[in-house]
Amino acid sequence: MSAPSSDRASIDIADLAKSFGDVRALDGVSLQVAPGEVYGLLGANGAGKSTLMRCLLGYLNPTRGTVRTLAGNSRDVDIRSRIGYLPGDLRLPLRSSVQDILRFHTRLQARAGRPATDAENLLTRLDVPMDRRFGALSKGNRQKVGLALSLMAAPEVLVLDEPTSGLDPHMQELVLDIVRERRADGAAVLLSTHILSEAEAIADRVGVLSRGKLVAEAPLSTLLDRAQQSIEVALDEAPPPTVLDVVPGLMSAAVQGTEVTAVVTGSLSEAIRALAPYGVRRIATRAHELDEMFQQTRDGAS
Amino acid sequence: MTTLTVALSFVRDRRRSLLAWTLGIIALVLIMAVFYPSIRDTGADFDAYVESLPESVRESLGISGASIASPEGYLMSQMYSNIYPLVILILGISMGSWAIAGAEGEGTLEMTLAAPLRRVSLAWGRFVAMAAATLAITAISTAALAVIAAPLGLLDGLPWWGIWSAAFSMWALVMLYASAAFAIGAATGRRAWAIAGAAALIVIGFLGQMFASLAQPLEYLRTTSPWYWFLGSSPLTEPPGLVSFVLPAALALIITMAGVWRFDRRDLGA
Repeated sequence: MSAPSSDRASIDIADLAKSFGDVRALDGVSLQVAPGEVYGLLGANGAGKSTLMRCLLGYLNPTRGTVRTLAGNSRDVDIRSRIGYLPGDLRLPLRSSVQDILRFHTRLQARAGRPATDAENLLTRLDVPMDRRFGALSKGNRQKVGLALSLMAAPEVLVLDEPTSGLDPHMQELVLDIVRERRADGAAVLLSTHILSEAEAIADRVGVLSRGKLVAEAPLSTLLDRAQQSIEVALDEAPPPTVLDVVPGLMSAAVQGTEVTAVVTGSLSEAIRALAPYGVRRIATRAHELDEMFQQTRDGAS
Repeated sequence: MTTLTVALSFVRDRRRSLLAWTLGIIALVLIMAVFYPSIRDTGADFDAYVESLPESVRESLGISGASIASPEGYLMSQMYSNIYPLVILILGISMGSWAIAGAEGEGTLEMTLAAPLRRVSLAWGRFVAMAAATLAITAISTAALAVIAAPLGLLDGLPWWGIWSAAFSMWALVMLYASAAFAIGAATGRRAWAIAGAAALIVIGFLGQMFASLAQPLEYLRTTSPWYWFLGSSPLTEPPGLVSFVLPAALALIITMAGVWRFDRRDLGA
């Protein structure tokens, strides 16, 4: 999936910069998210993910650039009623009951002309403890309340800052299922995470933020194509030390008798083809994980 | 209507605390009232002591012109010039400073504003809740005072509406300082600054009007003190007027509008 044009993007961020005094938290970030797309925002702590989301939602005023959601301003009540947001550090009034918190939000949704039609279903699926005070809930249960609030009005744009944080594996999968359902219904989803398997599981495209800059952005498949892969081959005959020199994308190679190891960016097929004449007895390959690639990108940016 | 939803939610979240404040203030008012007969019976001694005080101090304490043994003198000196407005001020400043800055510091404002709700609506909703809560507690405690005051002779010689007039003027004074706390908090997002700012204004206003009267050339400065607007207006015998009610209420609104304007435009804290 490639980047949508600005006029059909549900989220359209152009040249966004945000500074806090001398600290430049975001520097010229541009990204678009189309309806029915999940955009995974990757980055280490302090990379600027939450700042980007808070600019998108109008909590922070950009120092430079423009931010548009559903072709408008996310602070407009009409547009805001179509956005679901889950902050990374969810805080709700500790002394309020879950029921009171939900009632407040459903009333405001209804007043904005967008009733929380999916609330009952969500509360049941997420098994939200309604009768407890928010302050008495575990971290996982608090996160469920936040998810219910962000999802209950069937939003067209979902902004989720580390949504599975604190949840058990079963609930993590359930949350990702719900996000997939929202995507299938046409919602644009901007999801930040540093759990890369989560991005791999759900994101159509990912962007990597490092020190406030978007240093990589591509469909996940493209990024995976760019990822490095390792190969270990045992041969019948010892090849010459330069046997892999012709392989495109070769990063490193070591030939020790009949054992060959190599790291290649992109396809391994050329490497295997080069080694085939020496009689392949055993072959093992390993695609580097997205987090390794992410680490490489970060290292490259620093 | 959105403002009303916000206001009701703000009050509902604090219902237990507000109930405790209400009961505490009622108890305070009643305790002060039941001491009146013993003060009245030893009125000559108190009056002699009061006469020995400088005029400016007597006015600051709300006992200028009336014997402390009289209902007006007792109510003004023992209730309306100190502890009664002070406790409601503490409540008002607590609510005002928490409304935006406290919630922001606690981190709950972000999720509240994730709902389809304009910042301006949120701010005015919470301001309305603060105003309504302080007004209700003032009215309830005044009603309690009205019930017990008559048999104690504490309303003798006063118009029937006297304590209600004083209550409304006192509430306007409370709203002025609570609005300052609200506005400073809304503009800065810092609750400590909101409380410190309002407290400083209270002290400056109270001590300023007292000390200004001691120095003849500075006496005109007394008229700038909200405390003087309240205490100097004979609130138990005069209905709420331009100076004792309209002026502080209007200033409270202007200060609040300035705070809300700034809140609507600034970055929210994380």
